[in-house]
Amino acid sequence: MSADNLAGPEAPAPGEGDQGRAPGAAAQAVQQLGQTTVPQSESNIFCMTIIGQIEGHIVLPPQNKTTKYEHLIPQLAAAEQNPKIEGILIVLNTVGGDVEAGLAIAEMIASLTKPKVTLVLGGGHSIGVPIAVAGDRSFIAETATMTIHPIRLNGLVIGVPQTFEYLDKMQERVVRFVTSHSRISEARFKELMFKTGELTRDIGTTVIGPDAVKDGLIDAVGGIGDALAELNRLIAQRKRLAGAGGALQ
Amino acid sequence: MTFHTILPLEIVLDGIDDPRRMRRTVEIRTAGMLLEVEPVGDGFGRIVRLLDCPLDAYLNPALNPGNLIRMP
Repeated sequence: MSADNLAGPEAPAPGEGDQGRAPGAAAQAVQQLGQTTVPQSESNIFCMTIIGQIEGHIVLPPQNKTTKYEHLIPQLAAAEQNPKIEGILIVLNTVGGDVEAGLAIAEMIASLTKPKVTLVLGGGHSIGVPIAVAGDRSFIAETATMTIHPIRLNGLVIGVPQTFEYLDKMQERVVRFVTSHSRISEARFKELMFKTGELTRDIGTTVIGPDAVKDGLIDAVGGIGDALAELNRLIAQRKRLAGAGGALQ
Repeated sequence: MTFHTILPLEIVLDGIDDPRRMRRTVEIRTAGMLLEVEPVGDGFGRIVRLLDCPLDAYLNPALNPGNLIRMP
């Protein structure tokens, strides 16, 4: 890899192409492509993948495949700020991870002003659930699963009532986020979270694609095609609204 | 720090107390950016995180954590 690759994509923004090209570029385009308008290879959609463990305040040992929140957060800020990016697709296949980091990513996604669509492929478990519901519209693959279970104690355990109150508060943050960003009711989400007899090592529930939609956790069952089509629809809708707003002024 | 994951914590945290198993990283400055990388030999390093860089560098796939980069 050369240092040139590190400078970032230098392709001109849509609409700026003609000014950015060298004088002979149009003739070259006619020779090579048979037309003067060169197809733009740069996408207006930013695809963000959230995989493995969501790594937060502690660096995890190397056997974990991780998504680092300190990279995703400025990445989302850059996507929000970059005028070439018109929509964000978030693809999840995560086993969960750090509560603080997961909620921070979910809050960042939810507060983006650009259209954003989430897609759960494989799994969106534990703290992956708030991230999965953070978009404007959420999709889940037919076979993908989401495990909803309580937050467990780990690290130094102090046997005082405050420990449990603290955990309860942490859990309440997750419940509040999920119920305010999806159609699931608090009662139903907690029912799934505290269900016994489903998981071998824990209490909780594993919901598979269509069940997640039936419970109102996710908006629709679908794959990458459905998610991209919806994102493009939202982008077009946003442009229309911006155009209408401009016309009124 | 609280974990909320389906994986057993003994698997997730296995080796966290063993410095030989944890990554050894160095900071390098290249193309005007400060990066934390894990040297992997032959003059290459694996990007761990970006420490000081322009905002748009986060959108460059070549700079994603886990990618290999030539060490200066």
